[in-house]
Amino acid sequence: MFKRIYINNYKCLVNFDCELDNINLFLGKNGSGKSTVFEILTAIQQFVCLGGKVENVFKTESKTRWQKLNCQDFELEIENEEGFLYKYQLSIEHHEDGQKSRVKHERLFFEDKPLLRLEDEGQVYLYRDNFSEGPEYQVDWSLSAVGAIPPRNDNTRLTWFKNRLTNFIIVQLIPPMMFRESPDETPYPSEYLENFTSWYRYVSQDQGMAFQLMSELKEVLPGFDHFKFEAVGEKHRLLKVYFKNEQDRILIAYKFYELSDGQRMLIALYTLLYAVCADQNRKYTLCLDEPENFLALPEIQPWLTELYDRCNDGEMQALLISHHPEFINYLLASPIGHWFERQINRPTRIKKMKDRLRDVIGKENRGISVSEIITRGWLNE
Amino acid sequence: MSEYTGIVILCEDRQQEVFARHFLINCGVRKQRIYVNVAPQGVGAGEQYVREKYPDEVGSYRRSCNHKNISLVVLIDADMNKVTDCLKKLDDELVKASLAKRQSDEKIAIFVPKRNIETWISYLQDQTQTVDEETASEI
Repeated sequence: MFKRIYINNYKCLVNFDCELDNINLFLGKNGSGKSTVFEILTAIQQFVCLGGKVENVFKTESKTRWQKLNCQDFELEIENEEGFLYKYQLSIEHHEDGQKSRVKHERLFFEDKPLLRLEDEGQVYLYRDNFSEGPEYQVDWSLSAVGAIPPRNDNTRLTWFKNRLTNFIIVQLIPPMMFRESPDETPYPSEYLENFTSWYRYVSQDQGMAFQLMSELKEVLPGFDHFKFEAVGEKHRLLKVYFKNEQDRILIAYKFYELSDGQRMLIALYTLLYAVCADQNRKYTLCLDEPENFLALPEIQPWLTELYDRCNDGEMQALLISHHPEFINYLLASPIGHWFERQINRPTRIKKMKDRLRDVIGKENRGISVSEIITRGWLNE
Repeated sequence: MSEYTGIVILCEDRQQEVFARHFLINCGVRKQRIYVNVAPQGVGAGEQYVREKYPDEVGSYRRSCNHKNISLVVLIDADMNKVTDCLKKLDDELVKASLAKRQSDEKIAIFVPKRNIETWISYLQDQTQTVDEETASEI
């Protein structure tokens, strides 16, 4: 499980420290820094797992405007299934004089023992699984040293960390942006899930998962019957969705892009849930920015209870950003809310939602829901 | 079940919510037909929340029960009180809101775990145990 994130000198996040649970709800006004946390997770994933160059992934303009510090610092803590803790530290140095940004240091620890250290001057110290010292070498300062290490028998811990970081799905679903056709199969959903059909082409190779997903969609999407890919040219595929009216039992096929935004949103949300839980040997962290968009009100809670149960059972982890009363009122029966607040040109401050509520309204129940308390602005400073 | 079947669960906390929801699903209720109204954490006592919301939920039920197949499930821990006292307190809330007391032909089920829902869960996990309804159980 992803346990903690620390961020310093990135946009509005200064000395920002947040501990995480199996399911987390980020709340707060627009501009308070909620989505910035997701932005950093995406950046670290691109840097470590996808070979992104530091100057492309961590832009100099992303430094906190009112600070003079040139370094940005990030830390992630991830616990494996046996309860052992990985700690990843990354420090980026920017230059105002037009010089390229570089990695100041990059370190990976397992239970506080080093697996890799990239220190000043680009010197890498690599350690084996048994923590004995491995090779030392120089690297390109603009790339991740952790990301560059190929899997070997004596670095299974480092490889585990990289794979776990790959299993962060960070998306803001926007159905109107979804592509009409799939040019190929792709294992990773894109930022706005534009590549839904290509990603579904990949994940639906697990036929057990695809069957379970379609059974669930029959329950939640009125008339839904099944999916089918149709060839368009040699490689391209079109996703077709079949609907059946209960009265005449006639099947009618629609192209996926012909469905409404809400229908596509619902399909995408359930697909995410089923796909990330399909392989119990791979744990995923699902980060969703405003997943309630486009959904009809009665569609929200059934998806949310499904997500809650899966997170509670340890099948997956979720980080959610939402302003929606259904999300707030349902999820805040558990102590999983994080309240973000920020004054103009000042850093984000984060508090546990239960503490913030207690600060503001005391122990007395005022007979109104938490979403109403937020709507009325009572939690804002 | 018809398209309009719906069950509202009104309860004190997450433990009760998960228990009631899975109980209903195991009884054959489609999960899409369950709506949960659960007390938020950190905003007063859950028991007070249920008592305050109970008249609203009963009122909503009575406005729609003639043309929709709906029902209300309420969970409230007895704690150290008698079950009959808990039921009476809920009736009193209806009277205070100028509503009739719960009638036997209404689809309103009230579950009063004694001492609390954890006692029930603890019993279900090991039915050979003697149930202690006076001491708080922890899961």
